[in-house]
Formats: sequence, structure tokens, C-alpha cells
Amino acid sequence: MKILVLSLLRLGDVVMTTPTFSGIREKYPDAELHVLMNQQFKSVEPLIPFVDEFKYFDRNQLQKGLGEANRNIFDSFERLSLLINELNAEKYDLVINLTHNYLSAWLMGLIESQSGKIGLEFDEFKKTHLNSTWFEFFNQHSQKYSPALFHFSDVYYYGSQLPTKYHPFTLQETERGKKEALPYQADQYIVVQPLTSTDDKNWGLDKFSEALEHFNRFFPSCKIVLLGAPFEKDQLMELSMRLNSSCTTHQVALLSLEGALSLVKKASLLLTLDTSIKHFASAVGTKILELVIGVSNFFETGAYGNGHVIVRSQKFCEQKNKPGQKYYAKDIPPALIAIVMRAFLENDQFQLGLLASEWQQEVSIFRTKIDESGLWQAQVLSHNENDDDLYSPDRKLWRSRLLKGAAHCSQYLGEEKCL
Amino acid sequence: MKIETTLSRSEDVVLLLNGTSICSRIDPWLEAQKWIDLNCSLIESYPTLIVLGLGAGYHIIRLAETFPNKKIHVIENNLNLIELFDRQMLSKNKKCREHITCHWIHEYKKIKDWEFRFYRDSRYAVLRFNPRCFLEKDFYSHLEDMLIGRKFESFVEQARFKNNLTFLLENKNWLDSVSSDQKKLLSINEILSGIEQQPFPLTKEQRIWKTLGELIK
Repeated sequence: MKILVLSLLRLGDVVMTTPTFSGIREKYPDAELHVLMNQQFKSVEPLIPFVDEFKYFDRNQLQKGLGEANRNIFDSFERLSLLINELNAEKYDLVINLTHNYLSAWLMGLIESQSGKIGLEFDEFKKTHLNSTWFEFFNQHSQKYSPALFHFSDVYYYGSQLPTKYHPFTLQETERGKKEALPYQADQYIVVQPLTSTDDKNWGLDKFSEALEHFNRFFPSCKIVLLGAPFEKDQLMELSMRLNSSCTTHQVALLSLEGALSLVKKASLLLTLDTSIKHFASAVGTKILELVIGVSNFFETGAYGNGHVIVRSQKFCEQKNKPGQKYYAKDIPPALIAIVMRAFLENDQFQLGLLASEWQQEVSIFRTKIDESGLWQAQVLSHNENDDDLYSPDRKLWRSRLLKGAAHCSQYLGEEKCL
Repeated sequence: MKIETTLSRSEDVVLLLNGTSICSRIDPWLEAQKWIDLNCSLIESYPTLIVLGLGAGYHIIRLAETFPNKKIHVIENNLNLIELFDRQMLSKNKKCREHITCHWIHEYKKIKDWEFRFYRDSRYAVLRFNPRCFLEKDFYSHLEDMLIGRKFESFVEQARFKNNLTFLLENKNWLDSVSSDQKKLLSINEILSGIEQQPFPLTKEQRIWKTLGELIK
């Protein structure tokens, strides 16, 4: 048996699909598993277990072929035709699309399957097929609810019709990564990743600097490692200079993905924003303190697993170029983050609860949890904790319907809609 | 055209066509390297390279040395330059010779006869060597347009070799709309507008175009 999974989103999404890969391996132990992902994330390949072969969608070349006037107008057509022929030559028995967009839907329609397809597909009449109650729910109802009812990783997993259970992220270390991370590791260290892919989601180097300065006073023996990719060097060096001026001991690590995984694996804590590295930390069981800024939707892509901490501002702001759309403000107090880091490192849940209550005018502090059904959720932390206070009763209702299966959902999943 | 030679400051041979040099008078090898650096992203993306303009050939030799796995087709409209290149440069460089083919094309009407061999695949880069092309701008520009297929005439010419696009060539309304400005560069949007006019069910090829259309939204 041969199975193909389409995962054509970003790096973090690929990591969020690792439970689905392990679930497929468990459900079909003899199957050969292939994954189609974006060529630009090829460097994550050595870290992903369970997959027999990776196929690549070269989005950059296709876009260049379409958009650049000095390239043949049929170039991208030929490239994509070749890829589709290559995929169809594999004669897949099952094809699963975890990428819920138009591009993947058309592509899904072009990939042949011997016995079944799961996930969004357009046929030759542009008719939508999903073949999964979870994906139907996601397609029709997910945008109605704020906060989102389910984490993307859970939707991918259950949408692929895999057995009900807790399904952690999984990544494997490489020897190259271990060697790369070694110079930065110490008996006790925290990793700080202060930059994301867009400025909208960044907290600000000045705030990181202030928070780390406070943290260093609380925990002088705990080493601070600033993590980034080589192309982020200039900004990391700027933060490094700020920390030097306040005599905050630290080290800058510009690492590959393999090195980043090994570095994060032995860290006592990862302080991060909405980045793929938080999913790396989740995969290797490292504590995560996630700061939610801007467009980040942590109910869909937040730090996965039990016991991570998420902080967001109580204030919202509007972006000039997108009026009406709300963003989480950047004004999370740096001193508070330093105290939360200390309490989190010391496993002081009581202190975390107190902080959540004391600072509730400024921020919301959440703790992540896997519920009894194996689904992720974020709970508001406060001195007087109430498990389900954040989510509407809709989550319980939909969770019950979706976990019971198609027969229980069909009457609620009628209208056709496509994102 | 009269061909003369002189020496560059770097003491390499410089060819002059009717008194105008067709490579750098300072350092032709350095010029060749800069030309490759400038076109690097395009070169790396394709298995076949079509170079417009042989010039003195330094850029061709450097290209073949830097990318030994590429097939290089050179188009030159001066037969004497091709013979000189063959005698002076290729004969001394057997490794490069295997990858380089020079084509003598000197008339517009012959362009069409020659090009179709590439049209079926479309996966080639077209690279201009300006010091040479500049001397016969119209000829090489026309050739470039025909190979890239983004102007109406060249698009139709190439589409004839694509079975999956006959539906566009048979659609008079569509042809009228896109042929109104012959100099305009066509984009995927024009092809998609033709597909929008097609009734369901869409063919496999039409769905490939629809997939590509999602990449430009």
C-alpha cells in the first residue's frame, strides 16, 4: 500500500502534521508513506520520522515561471505536469490533503488514487469533495468560532481518520544537529527566539532585552541563548548589543533547523513568539513560554502539548492597512515575562496562577492541556481556575459530534462552503 | 561584416565586427564571469540554455565550464564567428565541446523552422549576450520573443505544439481579445480567461492551468 500526504503550507504546519504521519504509520504499518511539501522547507526532511519519501512542490520556480517576463510562458505548466505525472506513476492507494486551500484542492483532483482520497479536492466540474467529517466541519464552520474550537494539529489528525488518542508531535535529532548545538549548551540554559517571519508578530528587541535583563537578575546561573537563522544575524546582534550594555550574559546561536532542534531539546525553557521553533520544542518535550502578538492565532497553532504557557495582551490594535481586523497588541510588560519565566522554570503553578490574577487587566495567561479526548486546549490561568471557561459550549458539542463519527455529524454538515 | 582582432588589456583576443568590439576590451573572461553571475538564477533553473549571441565566445566557454551538466545552444547569425569560435576555442576544449551546439540562423523566416524543436518541452532559459545582440538588436529581440512565447505571435506559434491548448486557438473571441495588442506581453491571466470560457468538465490540462492560477492570487 502506498499513501501520499499533501502538506503544502509552512514549516510549522509540516511539524504539526507529524502526529498524522505517526498515526498513519500505526494504522497502516506496512504502508509506504510519501509526503508532498514545499521545496523551500526541504531542510526539515532529516528531522521528520515515519516518512519513506518526500516529494517537493517547487512553488518558487513555478511562480517565477509564471511571473517573470524572460521565462517561457509554458515553463510552469511543463514543470507542474511533470510533477503530476511523477506522482501518478507512484499509483497511490490513498491520498490525504492536509492543506485546506484552492491550490491543493486543484492539485488533489489531478492526483490519482487507487482506493480513496481524504481532504479538500476539486473535480473536473469544480465540485468540492472532502470525505472527512472533521475537514467538512473545518471547511464550513471553523471561521464562525472565535476562539477557534480546535487546534490545527488535531484537525489534521482526526480529519485523516486516525485512531482516537493523544498524538504528540515527533521530530528526530540528527548527529549533525547535535554537533552544531553542542557549543551553546550548558548545565542549565534557556533558549530565546525573538524573531518571527513577519514584523507584525514580533514583540520588539527592546522588550526582549528588558525581560532578559530582569530574568538574568533572578537566575544568574541560567545561561541565555538567543536563537535565530543565519539570515537573522543582524537583528540578533542588535539584541546582543543591548544585552551587553546591561551586562546580561548570553550567547547568540545562528543555527540550521537540525541544530535548532538539538539546542532546544536540552533547554530548560523556550521563550518564543509564533514560530515553527515552538513546534520543535513541543516535539522534544521542552517547556514553551509563547508570547502572542499581532495576527497569531494561538487557538489554532499554539504551543502543542501539556503544560506550556501562553501570554497575550488584553489590548487589541488595528493595522493601518487592514482596518477592522484586530491584532493582539505588543504591550506585554517585560518585567512580568521575566517573573513568569522564573515561576515556570521553578514549576511554581501557584505563583503562575497568582500572576494571572494580578495582571489580568494587562494580559491573559493560558496553560495548555490535552483534554480527556486527546484534544488540545488552552485554559485561562487564574487563582480560581475553571477549565472550560474560555471555550463556548460549542467546543463540547462539536467535539462530541465529531469524535462519534460521520453518522452523528451529517445532519449538521449540510451547506457547501469552501475557504 | 568584416571581422578584425585586437588584444584586450588582459591580453586576450578581442573580436571586432565592422570596427565594434563584441566582447570586453578590458578583460573578456571577467566580463564572461559577470554575465554568468547576472544570469545565475535563470541558468540554475533549467537543463537547457539557449544563448543569443556568440560574440567572441568567452561567455560560452565559461558557462560550459561552470555548468558542465547543462546543454548549451548558441544562436549566432554570423557564420564566420561560429567558424572562428570552433577553430580557436572549441577545438582546444574538448570537454566543453560536448555540451555546446552552435546554430547559424540568419533570416527571420528560418527562425520558425528551427525553433519548434524546443517548443515541445519549454523548459529552457533564454540568455542574451548583449555586447553581440546590441549590434543586431531587431533580429535577436525577435528571436527572443519567439523563444519566450509571451507575445501573441510567438504564443500562437508555440501553442500549436501543445495539444492541450488547441481549445484556445479555436476560440475566436479569445483570440480577438488577446491579439488586439500584438506587442503586449501575455500572462497566465489571459490563458485563464480562455479557460473560464470553457464548459465543464475541465480537461486535465485545463485543471493544471487552474492550479497554476492559484499561485498568482
